Amino acid sequence: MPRYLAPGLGLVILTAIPRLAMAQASTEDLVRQGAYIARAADCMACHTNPGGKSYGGGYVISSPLGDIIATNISPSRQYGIGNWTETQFSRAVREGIAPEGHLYPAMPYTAYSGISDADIHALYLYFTKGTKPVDLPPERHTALPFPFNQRWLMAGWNLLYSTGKPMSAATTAAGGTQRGEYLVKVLAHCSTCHTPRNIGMSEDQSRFLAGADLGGWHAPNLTSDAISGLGGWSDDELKSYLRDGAAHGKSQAAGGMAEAVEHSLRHLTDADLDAIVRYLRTVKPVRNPNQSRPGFSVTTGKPVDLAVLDAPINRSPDALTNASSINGAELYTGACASCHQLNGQGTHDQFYPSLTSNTAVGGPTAQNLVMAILKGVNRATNNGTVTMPAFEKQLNDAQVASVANYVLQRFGNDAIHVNAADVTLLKEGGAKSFLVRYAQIAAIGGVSIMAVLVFVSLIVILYKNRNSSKE
Amino acid sequence: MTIQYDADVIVVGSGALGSNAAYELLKHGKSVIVLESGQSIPRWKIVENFRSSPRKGNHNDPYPNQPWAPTSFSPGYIENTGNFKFLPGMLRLVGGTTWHWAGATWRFLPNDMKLKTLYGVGRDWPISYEDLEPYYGRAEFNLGVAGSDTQDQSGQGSNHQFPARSTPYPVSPEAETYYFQRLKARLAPEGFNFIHEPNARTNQPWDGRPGCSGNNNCMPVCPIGAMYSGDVHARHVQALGGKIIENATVFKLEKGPDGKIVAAHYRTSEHKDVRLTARYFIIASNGLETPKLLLMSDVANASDQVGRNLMDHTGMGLQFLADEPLWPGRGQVQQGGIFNWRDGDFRREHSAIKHALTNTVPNRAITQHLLSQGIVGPELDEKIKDWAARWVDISTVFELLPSPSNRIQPSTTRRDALGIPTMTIHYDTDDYIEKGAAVAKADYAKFVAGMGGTVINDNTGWQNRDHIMGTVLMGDDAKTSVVNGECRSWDHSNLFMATTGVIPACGVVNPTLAGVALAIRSADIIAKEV
Amino acid sequence: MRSTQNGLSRRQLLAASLALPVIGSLPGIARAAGLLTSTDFHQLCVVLTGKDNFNPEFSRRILKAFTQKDSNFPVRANDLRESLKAADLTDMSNFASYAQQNKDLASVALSIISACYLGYTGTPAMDATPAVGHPVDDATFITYVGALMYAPTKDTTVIPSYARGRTNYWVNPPSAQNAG
Repeated sequence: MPRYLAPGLGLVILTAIPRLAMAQASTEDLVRQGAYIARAADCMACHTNPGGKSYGGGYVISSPLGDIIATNISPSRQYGIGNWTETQFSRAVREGIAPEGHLYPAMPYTAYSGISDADIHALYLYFTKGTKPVDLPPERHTALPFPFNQRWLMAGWNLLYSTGKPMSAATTAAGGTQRGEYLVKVLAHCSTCHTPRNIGMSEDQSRFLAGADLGGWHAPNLTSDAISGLGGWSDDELKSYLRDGAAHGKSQAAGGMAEAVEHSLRHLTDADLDAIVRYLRTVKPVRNPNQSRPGFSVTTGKPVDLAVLDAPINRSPDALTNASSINGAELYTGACASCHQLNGQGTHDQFYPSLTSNTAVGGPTAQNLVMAILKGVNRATNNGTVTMPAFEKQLNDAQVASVANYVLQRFGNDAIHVNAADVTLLKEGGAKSFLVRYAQIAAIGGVSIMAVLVFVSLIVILYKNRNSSKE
Repeated sequence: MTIQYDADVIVVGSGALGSNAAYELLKHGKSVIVLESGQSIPRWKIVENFRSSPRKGNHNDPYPNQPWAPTSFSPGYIENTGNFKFLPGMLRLVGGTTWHWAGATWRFLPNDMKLKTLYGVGRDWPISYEDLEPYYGRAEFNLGVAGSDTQDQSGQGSNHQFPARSTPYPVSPEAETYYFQRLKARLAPEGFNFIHEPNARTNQPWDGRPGCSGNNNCMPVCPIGAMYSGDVHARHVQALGGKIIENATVFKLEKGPDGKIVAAHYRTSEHKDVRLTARYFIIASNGLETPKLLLMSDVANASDQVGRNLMDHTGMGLQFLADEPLWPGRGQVQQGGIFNWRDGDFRREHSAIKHALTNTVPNRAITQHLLSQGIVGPELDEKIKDWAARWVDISTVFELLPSPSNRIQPSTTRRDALGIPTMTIHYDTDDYIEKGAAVAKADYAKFVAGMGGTVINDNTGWQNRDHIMGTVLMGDDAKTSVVNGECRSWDHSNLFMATTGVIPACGVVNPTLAGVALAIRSADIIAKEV
Repeated sequence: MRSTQNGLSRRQLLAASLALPVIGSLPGIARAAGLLTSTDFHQLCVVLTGKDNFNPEFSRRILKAFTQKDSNFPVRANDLRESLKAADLTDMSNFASYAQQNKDLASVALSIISACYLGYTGTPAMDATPAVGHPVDDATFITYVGALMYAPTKDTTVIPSYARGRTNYWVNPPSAQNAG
């Protein structure tokens, strides 16, 4: 076919398409756009139970007060959101008010309040037209005890803290830093985990993305600080981390971040990943005053005599059975070295990562090291699934502490020491805040603003714990 | 009348079969006690026991050999009287002998189960492939089996999946090793059919297990737990509220007046005797210990077949150097093999044959060989490097026929530290496999020629393969078999066997998967009756 | 500890423990002590294997294992050392001709080389876990990852139980690019 015919032919085809078909194609585009936004906002993380039907709900967020059950957001008319209008949908996502009443802020509507009108429209079309109804009654409902079942109390907290406004479509569509800001602050709601909370359990904006603890894990500092934050990472490293959950010589994603990579970040376009990186470069640096060098800066391990790790043992039947050792070197060799190698350098291809040049080992806290030992790592990437087995059934808390200390001493931050009680605490989800510990007393004291604060803090903590509560 | 029982079901043995049976019963809401003669040991400790062992070729060495739970390798535990020294490497600990296997999880062929009808030799199974098929699927799911959904596993060269399956393999197969690829590329044109081995080494996360990354140590212990071991379901049993009692060696099953079994008696490591009652009993203490217990208890043996018809896939091997680097030792210890002789009319005359391609890191075997020739210095290093790249190791197994004279019995003269009889085994090889051996050796010559090879050893003699079958075999006649097609004792309606010892015709494939499938099937049957 | 009771000074004890950690506690000490230190034996291992990075602790374990089995071993090892010196055998490429003329000592050499390469001494009973006093099995662990038989293939395969790389890496032959 001669080339000059092509444009004319295209014109003929375009004019031949009826208006109706054009409209449908446009809806399809919007549904596709909505699907992408749902990925970026990671709706699936909570609204799909592992192994269950997409958006059918049922995911359980455990708490000392009771379980919060994520709801069915499929277009089922009976059990999902099939009867919701776009206005109702928009209010639920952006303001936390569903037709049935207030949502708990386990739903990150404070971040989603910035979703643009255009994107909320696309998201609505995706959930109503682009997903399959799950017509199954929920196995369980959220049923917290009084006063925590008084959802209207959320109105007070919303007045205080839910101040976001939708960004304009023009801003969010633009490439570059602004697009990155929209992704980080709104859709990917990074600050929900990575920004420390104030006494009212709302994000402390003066320390935006400066790192916070959740469910035993530490969500690291994402600011541009060269020592405590990401200032020392190259653009490629940041992008590789977001896409694959791994940046060789820097860090690997585990816990909640592994889920964020698996369900959301790895599905983003290259342009969006670039935009996130560009925006993160502009985040005001926040330095951890206790940190004097980057977590990845321990590049070489301390030398050891191989013979110590390769020693004869007592071979009596009792000794072959006795696994109570708290010798860190011995535990490292038996439990860790098969993958991370005796020299701690991992495999050549870094499929099993090096323990030196690793922020989990060289950083200012050992939380993520201990949690990775306890819970393991499970991260689907676009390039195969990465797994580390959980050792909490194989090693007791004292043994986990011993092996963590051995790793810290030899490959990382040798100023940190972990004891068995620390491990026990992290296993239970980490240190509880003052407000949580005194929640019941405050609740008994009556419905005051304090009680509301206590209540919402609990909810936020529940939200933050969601990733660690999964079995 | 209300009788109080200690549990709905008592399972003797916490290996892959016992633990899977207990797990399925717990899922049905039944109460279960598992009695285990050994103890629980975490994986990291077994890895340490292995690495520090001076006898890496002895797959039992990393595991304890307690006086109250002697393994098959405990000195003097097994006394042999036949022409072959029958000495499989059986373990005694929570999780059982699947702590060291290679995870081979084949299905028997429909024809394997009709051996007598089709070929006039051996015995038939009392159930068909179709009867077992759904349970195979469930067993494969529990074990996280990786397998091909397109190959003809009968080895007869068709281009469609065989045997038929109602469910796909839960995990897709791992990549072919370069070693397997090259052997196939050069020998398949000679007419040899290469088949991928379905295996319980998951290559993607499965049930808390990581994917295999080729640590090449399936035997004697997978260091990362990618390979399935019975400890997985032993842990699941405990998570579901089942009780596993360790250091509990069962030495007697007690008969009640109505012909049912009423209690299991065990002796602790402290020599204390305990009696536990249950509605049903599953004996899952491997193909040697199970018949020994029945014989000691004088139960289930009206047919006089308990302990008889002992079969292994008695085997032999070939080692040679190919004329090109094949790089064995990269990946898992075995991946499949050559299956032309898996089925056919020849089974009237000689045994079926499986040639498995062994892919273990060969340095120890090579270095021992070179040192025995006095080779030292730089030449030793060069030769290790060169031979390790070109080493080919074929492990061949043969189909045995059940013979009543091949049998395991409690010793009449010797006892272990608990005062429980040890074992006497009589095992003779027969003409059926000797004829098969001649066929296999003709294949060996073709393999060597096809790979431009230099033989290192093509005359290993008969070897143990640790696949114990036949000792409590199933059949459709109470006079000639120990259990029926449900694996239920003909003599005691509440007594089941969960052991590969029930298998009456052994084909050439590793029997553990069939054992797990049968154990799950028995559990379903029991759950309906309890 | 017996030595302290005999009145040795701490300094003497230290020296003895460095040079003779094994032999000091074994019969034959009087004769052996004057002939072969553990340092001497390590140098012998280095000569016999050509590996000057062989871990001295593994040499000590080999000496201990052989001496426990045969109290005369240090004497024979020392004879071997002297004999290799006399024959000026510094390159093991020439071992074959030496072995022809010194059959007895060559077998001592081979047993030491075997221990360094295989990582154990003695003869393991492959089908019998040894109990105390089991007559056939005299195998003793020396080293696993330090066994010299694994060095020639360190760029191509694994020391079993240690990982080499990602799942399915084995689909390719080893190459310089991916370092195996």
